[in-house]
Amino acid sequence: MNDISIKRRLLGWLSLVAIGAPLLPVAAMARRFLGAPGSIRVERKVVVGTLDEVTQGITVFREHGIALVKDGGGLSAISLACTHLGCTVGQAGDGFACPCHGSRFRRDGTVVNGPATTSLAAHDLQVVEGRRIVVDLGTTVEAGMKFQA
Amino acid sequence: MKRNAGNVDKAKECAVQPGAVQDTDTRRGLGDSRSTEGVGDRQGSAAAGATMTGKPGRGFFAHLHFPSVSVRSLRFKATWGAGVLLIVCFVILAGSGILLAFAYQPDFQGAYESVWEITFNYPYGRLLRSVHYLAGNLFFLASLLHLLRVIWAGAYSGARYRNYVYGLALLVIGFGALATGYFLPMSEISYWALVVGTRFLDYFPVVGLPVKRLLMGGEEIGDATVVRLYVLHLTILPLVFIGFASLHLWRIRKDQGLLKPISLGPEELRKVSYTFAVRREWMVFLLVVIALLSWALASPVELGPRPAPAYPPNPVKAAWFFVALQETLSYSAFWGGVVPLGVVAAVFLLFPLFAGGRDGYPLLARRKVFSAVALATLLAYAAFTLLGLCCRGPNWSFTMPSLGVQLLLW
Repeated sequence: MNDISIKRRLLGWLSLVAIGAPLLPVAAMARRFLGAPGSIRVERKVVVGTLDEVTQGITVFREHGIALVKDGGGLSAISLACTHLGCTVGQAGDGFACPCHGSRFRRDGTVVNGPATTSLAAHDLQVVEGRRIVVDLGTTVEAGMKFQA
Repeated sequence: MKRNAGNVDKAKECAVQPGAVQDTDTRRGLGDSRSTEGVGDRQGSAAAGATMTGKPGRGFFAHLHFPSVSVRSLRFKATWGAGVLLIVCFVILAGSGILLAFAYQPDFQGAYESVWEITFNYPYGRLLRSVHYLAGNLFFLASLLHLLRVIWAGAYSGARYRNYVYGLALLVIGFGALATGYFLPMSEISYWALVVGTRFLDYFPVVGLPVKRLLMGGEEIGDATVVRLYVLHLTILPLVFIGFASLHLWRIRKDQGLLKPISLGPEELRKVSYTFAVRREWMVFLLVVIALLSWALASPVELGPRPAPAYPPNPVKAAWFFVALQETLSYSAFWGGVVPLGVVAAVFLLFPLFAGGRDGYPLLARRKVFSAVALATLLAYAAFTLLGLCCRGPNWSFTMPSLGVQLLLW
């Protein structure tokens, strides 16, 4: 009696394995498929504006998701994507504030108060033809880094 | 039977089985004789006729019920009607949702436009959308109510633990359907909730990234995201829900119906025909339909502006059921989001295992503790929701609520 019971149970487990084993690679394939195609790295250089459009302090270019910050002679491109949960921050006084959860940042992108814990990203920036400002949105550079304009 | 047989050998089980069947038969017989003995009770004599088992003509829907139910189980205080309310909401959601699906267009631009068309151009479109939206909200509230009632009754230990877990799974699936449904119109509020929601997944270890990729279908929110949400909302979640709901209902029968308090008088234990339950279920259905229709006509659902990724409103406020999470996230994404959700999930999943007691009845003291914990969680949720809704202004800074809100709260 006991023998039969054990055999039955063994057979049950074996059939479960037999059905389950082929399903594993299928599940793995489905997981890869649903993970969407791999990202294609695109150069995302945009001409933001010209040097004479940039005033001392913060100039926001919302359509590009950045702000140009002029600090003395230095210029930096600060991303407006909040490092907390990705909302678009806006200018608030001499810094930035997030409308979703209230994080505040200084104008160089460093955190004044949370919930965000890391600085706003900064992008690589070039000045071409003497005055046109080109920002590469695909890059991230160290916060507070300045480019002499 | 299989589970009981775990330690017993086969022969013994075979010997026990006929006895067990006989036992339930005599019990049922007793119930019958007792109900006929209910002297001068009109319901009692009516029930005696209908309690007959194996009566021909009991169809599929009747088999969802026991042939007879106890008087106690029909009382409002026994169920708060919450489970039936959920089934009714699901039926209404399925009906209205299928109609909406005929007019919805699952891509980033088309979503908003088609929902706009549904709301303002389709005949009865706004009513249909309102009913669907309100039934979803009611569904969510009813699941909280149902969970609270089950915890209050202590119907989660012993053999019932399995069904309790199915119930929690249903709550999560239901909330998933509510969330995906709220993203689908792709209005401003949907867009920002989706931005925040998908970024929030980054903070979850291990599972966060795969789920995020599954939802977004790319690096940014776009057509692929809407298609994925659409498939989840229209096929995956409802199908999984129906699966778990079937298990859930079947387990109720397996567990001999509702968990009854130990000290019940003969009157409350008296069995009556299942048709009394069916009558009450139809009553809930009609009440819900009336409530939803009047609610939908009194405050038809709105459609916010189209999303402008560069120009978020200030403050961005989520839909009411997400505001509590938004509020706690505004303290910290990990400590205010991941940790509380994890702790709540762990407590609700694991507490019943330590509830003790015998025969599926948890120890009274622990039952009370769990009830208090559940109530406190619900109150905290409500408090954070109110705080987020009324006391947060531009840049999510703290503001005093307007006079009207203060008066309303007072």
